[in-house]
Amino acid sequence: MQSFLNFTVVGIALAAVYAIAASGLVVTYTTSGIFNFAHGAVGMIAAFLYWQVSAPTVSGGWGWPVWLSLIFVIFVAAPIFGALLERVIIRGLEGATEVVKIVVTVSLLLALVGMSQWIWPGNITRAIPRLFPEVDDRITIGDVRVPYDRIVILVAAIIVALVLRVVLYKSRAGIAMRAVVDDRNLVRLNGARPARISMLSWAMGASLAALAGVLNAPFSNVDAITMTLVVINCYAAAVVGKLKSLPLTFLGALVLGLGEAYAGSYLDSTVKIGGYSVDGVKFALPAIMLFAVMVAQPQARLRAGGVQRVRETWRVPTMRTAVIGAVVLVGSVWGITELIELDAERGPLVTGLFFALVALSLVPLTGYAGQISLAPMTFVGIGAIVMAQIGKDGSTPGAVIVALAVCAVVGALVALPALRLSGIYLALATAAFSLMMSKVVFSQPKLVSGGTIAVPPLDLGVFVPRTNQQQALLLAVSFALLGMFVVWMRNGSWGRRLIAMKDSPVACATLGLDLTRTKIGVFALSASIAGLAGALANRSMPTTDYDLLASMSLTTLAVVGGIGAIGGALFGGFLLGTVQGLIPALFRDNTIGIFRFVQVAVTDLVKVLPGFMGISLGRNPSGAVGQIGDAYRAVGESKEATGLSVFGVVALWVLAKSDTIGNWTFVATMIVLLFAILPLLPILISPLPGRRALPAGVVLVVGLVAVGAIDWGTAIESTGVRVMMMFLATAVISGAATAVHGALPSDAPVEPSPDLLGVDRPITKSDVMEADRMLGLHESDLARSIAGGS
Amino acid sequence: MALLETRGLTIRFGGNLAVSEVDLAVEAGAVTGLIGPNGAGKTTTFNMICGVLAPTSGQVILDGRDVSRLGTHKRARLGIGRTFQRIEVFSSMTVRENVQVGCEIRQGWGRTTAPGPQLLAPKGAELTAADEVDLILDRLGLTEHAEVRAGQLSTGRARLVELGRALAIRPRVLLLDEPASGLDDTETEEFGLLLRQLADAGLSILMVEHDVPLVMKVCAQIFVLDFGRIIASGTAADIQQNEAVLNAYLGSAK
Repeated sequence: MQSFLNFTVVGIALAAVYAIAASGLVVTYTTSGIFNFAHGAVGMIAAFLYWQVSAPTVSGGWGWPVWLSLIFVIFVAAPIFGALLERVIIRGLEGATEVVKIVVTVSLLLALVGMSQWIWPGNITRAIPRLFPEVDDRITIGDVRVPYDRIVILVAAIIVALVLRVVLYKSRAGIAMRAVVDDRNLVRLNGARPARISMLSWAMGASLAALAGVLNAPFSNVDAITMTLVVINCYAAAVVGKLKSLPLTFLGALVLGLGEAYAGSYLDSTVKIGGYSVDGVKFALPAIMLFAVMVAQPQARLRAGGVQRVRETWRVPTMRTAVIGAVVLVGSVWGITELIELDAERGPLVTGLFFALVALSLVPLTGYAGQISLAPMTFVGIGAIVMAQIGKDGSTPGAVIVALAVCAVVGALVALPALRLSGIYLALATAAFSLMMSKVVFSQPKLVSGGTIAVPPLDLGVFVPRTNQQQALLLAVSFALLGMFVVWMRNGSWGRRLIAMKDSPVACATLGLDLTRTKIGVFALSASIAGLAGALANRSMPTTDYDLLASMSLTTLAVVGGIGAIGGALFGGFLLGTVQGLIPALFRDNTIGIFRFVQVAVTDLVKVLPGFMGISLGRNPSGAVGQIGDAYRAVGESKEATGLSVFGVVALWVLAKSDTIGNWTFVATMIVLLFAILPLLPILISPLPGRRALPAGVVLVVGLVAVGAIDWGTAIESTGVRVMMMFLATAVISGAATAVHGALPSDAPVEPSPDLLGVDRPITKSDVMEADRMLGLHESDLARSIAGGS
Repeated sequence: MALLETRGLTIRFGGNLAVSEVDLAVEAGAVTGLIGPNGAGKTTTFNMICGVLAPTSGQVILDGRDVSRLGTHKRARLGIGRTFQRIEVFSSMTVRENVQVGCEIRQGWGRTTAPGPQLLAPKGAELTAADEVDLILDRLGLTEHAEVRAGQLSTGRARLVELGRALAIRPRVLLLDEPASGLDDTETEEFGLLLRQLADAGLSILMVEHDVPLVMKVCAQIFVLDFGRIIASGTAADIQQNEAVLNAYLGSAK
């Protein structure tokens, strides 16, 4: 009984931390409509900052007194940081799709985790002392000892609750905040400034995250990932309040805190069921609670608010493009692996293709249907386990099929409760699922021995991938086949349905489409593609390869690549593969000093790159591949240009293969070919009048030959500098050719300026209709009055 | 007997009684009008009929069957189609694809429900899906815009796309929410003829519309909604004489 009461004390204090963090989340979500996945990371940064200012100088801190440190972190640094986030990143997201909104804050989480590892590397232990370190600092009620620390946390939570109540319901700012929730535009019309209010709420949210982070730090490892994920638990508490109600959020936090304290105390690693340890269950509580709450919620109301103008645009791929793309991909992979002599050096290519295959799983789900998953790598892990368990002694092709089926079924079960609700819940549910799988399943020694899954190669009898080259070809062929399948599906009736569902769910429902079933179908498809990638991994996979952060990085880079297109998945996969494999290898020796106390190696940049790339999405929601596609589309449309470029690539490859030019020179000439010559080729072949096509062509050829004449492999010592010089040379060649040629025609269609309407051309009825539509007026009346009057 | 009925349909948003005790009756093969000032609850009533909103109380009866508990997609499969006041076209798809998706979704309903005949087609005609799409586009005058992305259309044309898409599921009752706004006089006239023709072929239509001449011309029966209540119902002639209606629209003379 006594221990039970002691656990209760621990649980209540934990609940108080969750409540503080969760209330910050709810405040920002309701006022800005953006669910801040980086909330936990903000708390984590705050805890590190607190350590930095308060730790004694001998251990690397600045030795400020505790009271000053607390005030600085919670009331100065955190609110400023929150307001900056809102101003710089969040404000630009108004009108973005839900997927982009989610990916941007997920990227923020990744960037903050990466940055904290930069600034506070994990090579020294940073302990944050308890506020009341003495054993006697406690009160005793009966047999129950309650340390002052825990009381402080509880009091802080109560104060937060009271302050929020007063601020939101009594203060002018709070009333404005609640008004923003109801109708942002109406608030603006009434003279309040929603942007200012949103900034204030983000400042408050960051402050609350910081308070939770600092209060919890003495009881947790001071480690970026642990501390970021602890606050993920508060998502579950916020969901109890449907991300809106603060009292219910506090209740959720209480249930969660107590449950975790009891489970943590009564279940330890000695308790086993059928050889599987169950102590991981305490980590699963947030996920269990999240799912329970979601199941209990009624189906989300469909909103008939008119279709938004979407900023992303995708071309519908044709089967012909898909087949050509598939052949080019497999051919290129074969060509590149042929040039690389050491099999180990083909590793980054395999990594890139592997991630591309996983990213492909998001094309139907995220690109077509507009749903997001934060657990693609979890399904990779499941596929890998199935392959390892069944394929170890039995048939590996059979194991692949079982992996597909298991992932589809598990995916459907995970998605079922979330898909009845809005998109943000699917992101939360998949994140919780990912965390739960890592703690409960991927930690079982029976399944993941020694912290890795040994995935056996796929044994097809005639073909077994033993080398990196064979593995790369297997992955390339899998990607090509699945890519063609996805394009075929997109062009079929089911694909059109997915797009329709993304454009207007309510219209689909009124046409008789069962939205939940359709979404579950696409989620199951996505899960099984990811599972297939896991089953084909053919290597030892440590648990960090399929944890939540791995999933977040993958989803982020897939969306950055351009998830609406197959090429985007490929690009995103290679981006992640390159970031993880190639950049550290290339820039091993290069170090940049930024601040005196932070010596930054370029390899550390790798940790924050996915995050920053994701944040940039706010500006270009279609991802990178759309722009790349636009740049090269003209090449594909001209037979001569296509022929010449294929000839160029093959010729260079033959030169490299026959050792006429070195491999580094091949890389350099390919860069010149792809980035300087190809974009200009179509206009050189069909020259524009008054421009100097031939001299420009000569410049390009001379440039290519000049670059090809250099033996890049020996000319420059450092690989990093070498690659940079290649791009520099390419930029010079491209610039010179453009200068010789004369100004390029602009691609953008020339829209007649509305300002000159009626001056340079007569007003037509369609102009009036367009103006009315943009103003949202009742157009028929206006159009009629104009038509009648003129 | 009426094909579609609502009985005591009521919805509250918080303390606000948006629609109260609304009884509508839509006769088979007729055009019924639902008019009223802005904010009277017309679109809200539509949302309750097709299941987008759950009423606080009251029932929706389709052909004698209480469909109040069914989800939106199930009601659609039983024959309730609709268009929207604020455009809900599939904006990233072409006009043709918008209509095509309607046909394809209908074909994917399965055997549980049997949609009626395509009312735009001559009686007894056998249609492939592609024929049906072409027919709908042709009849709505959308053929020349078939390959335009629906998001780029003017409002009037986008409404026609929504109508075509709704016709593709071969509904028994069609709810039209301000279908003629965005159309000019000639187009409105043609639209009126089309509605008549659809009704003559057996489709029941419930229409919210602000174009009073159009409503008076095509609607056999008109319901007038004001502040969430039915204040009058009857033929066009009845409504034009009705004092409560004049007060609601023009304000009281007193």
